[in-house]
Amino acid sequence: MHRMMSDKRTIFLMMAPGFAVFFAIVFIPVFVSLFYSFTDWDGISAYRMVGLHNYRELLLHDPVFWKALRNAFLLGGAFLLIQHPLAVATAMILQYCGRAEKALRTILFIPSIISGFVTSKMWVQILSTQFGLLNRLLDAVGLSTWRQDWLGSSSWAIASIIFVAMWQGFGYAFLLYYTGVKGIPQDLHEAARLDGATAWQLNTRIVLPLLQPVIRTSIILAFIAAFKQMDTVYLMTQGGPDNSTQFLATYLYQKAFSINLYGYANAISVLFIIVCLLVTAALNRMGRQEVGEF
Amino acid sequence: MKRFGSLLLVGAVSVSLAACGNSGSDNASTNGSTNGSGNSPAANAGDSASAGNKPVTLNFFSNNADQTTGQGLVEKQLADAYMKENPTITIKFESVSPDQQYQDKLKIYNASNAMPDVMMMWSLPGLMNPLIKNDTLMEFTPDDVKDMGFQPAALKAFTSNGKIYGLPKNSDFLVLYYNKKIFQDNGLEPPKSEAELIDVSKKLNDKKIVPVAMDGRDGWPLFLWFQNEMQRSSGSFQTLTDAVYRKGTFKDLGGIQVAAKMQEIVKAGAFGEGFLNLDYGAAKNLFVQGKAAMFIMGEWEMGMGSDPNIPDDIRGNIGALPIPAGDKGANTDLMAWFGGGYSVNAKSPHAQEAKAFALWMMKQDNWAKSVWQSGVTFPAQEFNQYTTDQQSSLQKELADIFTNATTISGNVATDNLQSDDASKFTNGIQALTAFKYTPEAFVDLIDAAAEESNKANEAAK
Repeated sequence: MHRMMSDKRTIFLMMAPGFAVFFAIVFIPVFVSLFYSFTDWDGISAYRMVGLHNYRELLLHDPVFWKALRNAFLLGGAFLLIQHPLAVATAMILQYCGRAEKALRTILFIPSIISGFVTSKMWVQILSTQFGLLNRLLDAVGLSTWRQDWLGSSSWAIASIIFVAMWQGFGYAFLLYYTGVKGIPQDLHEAARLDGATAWQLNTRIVLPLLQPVIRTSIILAFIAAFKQMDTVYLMTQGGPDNSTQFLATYLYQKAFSINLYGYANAISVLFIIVCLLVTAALNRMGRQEVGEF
Repeated sequence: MKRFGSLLLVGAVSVSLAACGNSGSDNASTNGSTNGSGNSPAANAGDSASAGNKPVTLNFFSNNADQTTGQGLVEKQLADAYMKENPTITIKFESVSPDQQYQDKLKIYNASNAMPDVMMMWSLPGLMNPLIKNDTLMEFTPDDVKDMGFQPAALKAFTSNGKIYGLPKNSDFLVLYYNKKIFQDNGLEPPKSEAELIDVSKKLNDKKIVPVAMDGRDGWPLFLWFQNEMQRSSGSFQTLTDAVYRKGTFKDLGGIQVAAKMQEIVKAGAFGEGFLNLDYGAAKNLFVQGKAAMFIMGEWEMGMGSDPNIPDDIRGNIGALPIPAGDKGANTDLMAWFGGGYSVNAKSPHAQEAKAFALWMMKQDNWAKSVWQSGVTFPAQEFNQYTTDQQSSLQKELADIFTNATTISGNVATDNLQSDDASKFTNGIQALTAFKYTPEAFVDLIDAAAEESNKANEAAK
């Protein structure tokens, strides 16, 4: 058995099917995409090679592309600085909730189970300017001046989208940390308590550092999620008003499927890959630190 | 693994793109397997016989997914009737809606040489021209259509280089639906001019009623409104055409005043708050739930007058008004265009059968009579002889607007804009009505977009 497994030919044969599928559905399309990004293809007629024209347009003359990128970073930043600290804190606090722990755990995860379509549409209703729950609530408690055109004004729309995306993703972020917290052996807790550590000290000095691998993975996942953000935005604002909530994926979709600039859209998708790879590499580098065994 | 996640995502997008990647005729044979849709019309090529008595299956690709009501029902009824008359012919429907997705799928079918036999078509140059260039669309001769009662302007919309490539199925025009009861209850008169519209809007806003429900999110209704405003301000639909074809600039042709007027109307609260994030359904809902007094939309919503899903006290009170008059344009100047129709695939092995069916379906006594009498839409053919007592009052009011029109815009020049530039227009109008642009900045933007589009169109010739 051992000899068979160390035989290079066997390894190759066993890897081949998976690798072939992977190659066919990942690498080939990426290269096809790369090819079309050098054309002015409109999806139907014959195309011409235009060299780097699409990339030049995108990087130098397309403010919407940069806005989409900025929005992705804003969302990633919000995940990193707001959603994840909250999720870590909630995961830590939940251990002290006794009997309510199980119920709370389920409730917190509900937004992640409901289809994104439903929750996005729900938030559109809640945030609707004239008849939405939020504005009506503000009216009811006498805060009418706080009423906003939550999704219709460009400055509020992006804030609303970020809020909803955080709300939708909270369950998963929380779940990852919660399992992380639960995975820390009880002996460490006991040892710390014997040494007189308070709950605060226990959580900040012991649990938090041990959570680091989880945090690292979660943050990378969160950033990737921020960059590929599509459904929520598409369902809530379609990137509008005036492109203020455009994200890379929605912009790519719009260029390819509404405006028929397939060549251009492919250039966006290629840059999209590059940005994702760069961000992942950067985050990996930042988080490269061993915690040790426990 | 994480990087693969991002790669996979992009891969998924690219796969769909790759699926349509065979438009170049040289590689047409290599792509069948990437186009995963099993129900592509090519799958039916099995019944290869094209002659008279052998059974033939025609694929009908429609944008009406619902065959229990509206145009979908009429299509189905006519197809059923045709199959009864011609037992050797089977008509199979495939529907995709909304229109954008329909058009995307049509492009994919075209790219993979799997076009349906009969298909819904729009007389948009961006959609039709590549198909004509490809020789995909069957030509109809003037003899084919001579006794069918088509409006000349409607046929013209489907004509390219003197050849007819589609049978127009409806006339579209922009109107203002209004809720008569709301107006009565509040002692208001329906607005006939922009000044009256502004006045009425202010009064309705004071009563917490949305004056005009406007689908601001999708862009195109705002775009139609802008095009209409160009006429209302200058007195001629030609102004817009001139600006689009660069016989003058929007700036010189009064674009700034138009933009300022639009801002004035928005400022008066005519569309209520937050209209930029109302989509079609939400805007219509405001109106049919009685929260909005008016609704700006095309004649195709005339079904509201007989829709059992709309509360009785509202359904019976829906009327239609022409878009209010402006400084120069009268409210009998009607923005009307002929967008939709049916085309036949010239490359199909059953092209002749498909053409015969399309011509039969669009006979005045079939299509025009059915859609008009069931109140589904305005045909692009003569229809007045079919009016009976059964037509709803809303339908009659709409017919009056259409018949009383003194000038008709015909197909709007902005259809000829490159799609990218057209989207600059729509984004610009959204920004203008959100007061992010001044009228001057807006006009500079659309002038630049029109200029760019014109250059690209010239280069393409």
